[in-house]
Amino acid sequence: MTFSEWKKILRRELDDLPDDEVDSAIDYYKEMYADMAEAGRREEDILSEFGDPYECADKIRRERGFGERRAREDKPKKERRRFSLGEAVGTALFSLLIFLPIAATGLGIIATFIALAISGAAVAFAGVVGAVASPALLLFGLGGGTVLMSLGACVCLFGVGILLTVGFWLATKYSLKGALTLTTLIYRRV
Amino acid sequence: MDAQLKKGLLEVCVLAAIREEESYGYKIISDVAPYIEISESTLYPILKRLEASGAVSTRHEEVSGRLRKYFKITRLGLDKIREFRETMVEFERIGRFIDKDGD
Repeated sequence: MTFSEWKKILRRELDDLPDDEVDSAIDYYKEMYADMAEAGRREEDILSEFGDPYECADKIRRERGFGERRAREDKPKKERRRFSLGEAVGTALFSLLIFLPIAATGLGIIATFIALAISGAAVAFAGVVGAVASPALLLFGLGGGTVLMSLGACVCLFGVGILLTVGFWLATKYSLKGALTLTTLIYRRV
Repeated sequence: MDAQLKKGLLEVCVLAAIREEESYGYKIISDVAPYIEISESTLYPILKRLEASGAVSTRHEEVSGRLRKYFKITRLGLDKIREFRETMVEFERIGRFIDKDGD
């Protein structure tokens, strides 16, 4: 053990006392250690003379009139559940008959959202291509008005495509999140 | 030696160690240890008790880049030593009586 570790234990064992009491004790030992080290003593010899930090803490409490250390509140450890055969069979049946169909439906919905998002991207792309190609209509003898109309329609298509892409992308994202949360909840209940 | 008796003796020994001039923890132990068993963990509560009772005053001084706490005896501390010496005279008197009966 190093002096630093020794001090940490002492501080921890006194941590329910007023701060000035704790600081006073730590300062005392720090000063004593420094003087003894300056006198040529080795760390292990000094700590051997100081003794066990737990006993030092007890002595300080006793002599200074403080009671025994308040027990730290330990969080109860979570017990690992042991599943019986019946519980295992029940879980498997639940998974097969109820959980799997629900999961399959959920996956289907999410897949649809993904497909619609991709379609939206395709629509947006078509809009871009159409807008770029619209001026070429002039070569076919169509008037400027027709060209402008075509351009407008293509830009509109682009906008709708973007909306569809973004909308169904968000729907996919939140559906996945919701499915994960629901799955976790159902698993814990079971 | 009886624990309570030793406790009282140690307090007076610490006061005696700083009677002539103020001193600090490590030096006090070095001066007292040849006469009575004393450890660092024993000295700490003694110093705190003496300080709380007004038998010693304290000050800090920077030494070699760190703070050192010095203890100086007060009038109350000198009175404690005087009371102890009076008690010792009583003990000697009682001791002579006990020895006389033991003859």
